[in-house]
Amino acid sequence: MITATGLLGGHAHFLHWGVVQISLANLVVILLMLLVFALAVLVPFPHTPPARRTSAPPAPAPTGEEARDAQP
Amino acid sequence: MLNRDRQQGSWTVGLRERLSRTVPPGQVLPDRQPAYVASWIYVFGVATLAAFLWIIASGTVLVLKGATWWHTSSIGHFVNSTHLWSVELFFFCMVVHLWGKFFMAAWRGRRGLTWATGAVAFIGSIGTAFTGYLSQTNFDSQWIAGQAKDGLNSVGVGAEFNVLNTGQMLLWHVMLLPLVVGVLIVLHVILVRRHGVVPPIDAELPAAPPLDAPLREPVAQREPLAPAQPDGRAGTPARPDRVTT
Amino acid sequence: MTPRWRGRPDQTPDSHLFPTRPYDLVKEFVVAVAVLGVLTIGLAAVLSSPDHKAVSLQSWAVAAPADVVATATAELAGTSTSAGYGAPYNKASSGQQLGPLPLQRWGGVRIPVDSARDLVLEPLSSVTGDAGLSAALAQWNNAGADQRTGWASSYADALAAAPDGDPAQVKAGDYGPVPTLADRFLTLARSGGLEGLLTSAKTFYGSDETKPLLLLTDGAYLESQARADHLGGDQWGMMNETNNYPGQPWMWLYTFWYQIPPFSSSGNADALVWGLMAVLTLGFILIPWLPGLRSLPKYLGVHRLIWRAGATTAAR
Repeated sequence: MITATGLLGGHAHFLHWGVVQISLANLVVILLMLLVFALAVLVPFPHTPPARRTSAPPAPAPTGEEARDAQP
Repeated sequence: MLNRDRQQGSWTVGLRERLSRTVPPGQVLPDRQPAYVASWIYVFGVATLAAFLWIIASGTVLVLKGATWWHTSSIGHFVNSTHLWSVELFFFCMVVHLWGKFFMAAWRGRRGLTWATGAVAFIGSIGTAFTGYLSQTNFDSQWIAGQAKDGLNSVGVGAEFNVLNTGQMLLWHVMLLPLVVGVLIVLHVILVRRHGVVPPIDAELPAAPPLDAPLREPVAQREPLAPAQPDGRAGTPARPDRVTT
Repeated sequence: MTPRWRGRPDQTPDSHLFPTRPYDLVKEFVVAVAVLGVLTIGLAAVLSSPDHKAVSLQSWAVAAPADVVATATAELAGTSTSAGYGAPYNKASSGQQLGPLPLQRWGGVRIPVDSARDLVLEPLSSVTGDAGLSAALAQWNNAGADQRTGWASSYADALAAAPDGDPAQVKAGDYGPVPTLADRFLTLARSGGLEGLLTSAKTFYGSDETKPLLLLTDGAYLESQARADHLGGDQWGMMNETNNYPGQPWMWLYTFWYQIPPFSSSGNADALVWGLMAVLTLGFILIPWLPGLRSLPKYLGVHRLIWRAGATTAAR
């Protein structure tokens, strides 16, 4: 039967802090999540400036009722 | 939108119109997003979805070869590893996505159901993963089953959801729960497309809509003002009201 | 109608009224699939996955024979965990309660298991060609309930008092057929045929591991293996995985309660934790509708990092 291979196949390491016991692997995952979240909100996202008022696809000519509705 | 020639009582027409009202026209796959969608936090929703697809893909290979294949095959073990790590990435991305949506108060603007479907999908995913642990057919499965039965039995549901029954748990994991989670994800994404990405907290309403603002169906139905197409398709939609939510 | 809550309407503008910019959703999705694919395959190739071999009843018998004998004796005495569990296996106990609500008992005996009969005596009854075992079974079956309990309880006490629980060092006493039954049970387990007798002896196809798992968890060996891997309930085990692999960090809140009073010392801990987590989960789902909680993000201010000046809009 194939058992665990790779870098994580050894015995687990645990950290204790009062009532809290956490595996090193889980702590790394949690810290990574926090780091990724922080980076996600802090690192600038490449984006183009907000759209100027470009011409939209031609809208149908308003008829009777629609012209009345378009009044502010 | 009503077709002047709609057949009275047609379920087909009724369903078509109901579906067409689910998402505003052009918003199922829009090629533009509000300009405030400009942060890396926004990619974690689609990242979660992508991880889900990898879970399905790797899980499908495991299904093809059977529940115990991975114990005796190197390739099987590798596929099992992809299944494990795609699940870890799925939860990783989902939690970051959840944090982002919480801090954005993304339930504003009638988006409460979007939040709720996402939250239920999260809980459902935990349940799906749990049945996965039970289906490993190894020591982990034995221990987790022995422990979990106490929790479920304590509230009287352990007979319906017998974690000691590997056959039942495997079927729940492979078919039932992924289907439930998949449906929740679809509903969640439809709701996102329906309402659009939530504006920033305390964002000011623009003075006038941009010219490229998509047309939206008003809540109240209107008759189309242009004639219907000769082939029976509905006419041009009316210019909608500007609805604040 | 604009949603209201105690007079304060939701004033969130319609997202479709803001200036837009090009955004390729399909390309974003394809890139996400590619990136997640690379990560998945890369992590799998480098870190692999754990596969801690299952404990077969045979391996249990080889590794901890005294535990097998003690467990079989406890089943016969009715003192094992499963024998005194209550619903859904039997009525020996009323089970756990959530406050005044006997939820476990309300679940009913829907998976009936008689621990002595189903886990020990029936498998032994299938053994043929063993006159000593047949005689022991006959003696057991012909005895009254009190006599059986007396024999088994005495033998259980004697095993506990023996060095390392070794049956060979048990003091002489009136144990009836129990020592023979427990010894033959160990032999049966060592043969490797016990799982089959417990799951598929009458049906050929067996996919329900209820009986062998109840037997295994009645012993001490499985738990000792689990605790060595920090998987025990009081070790935050719900979060953990075997070896050095990450487990389920998202289960932190669920397992946290088991570590602190009153849950850590309560006989109703499972029901209490389930009840508490059900309430918290409901609250989590209903955040959009909970006053105070739904306004919290505004005051936490993280959103100002997400929507920095220049990214928010106000078309003028």
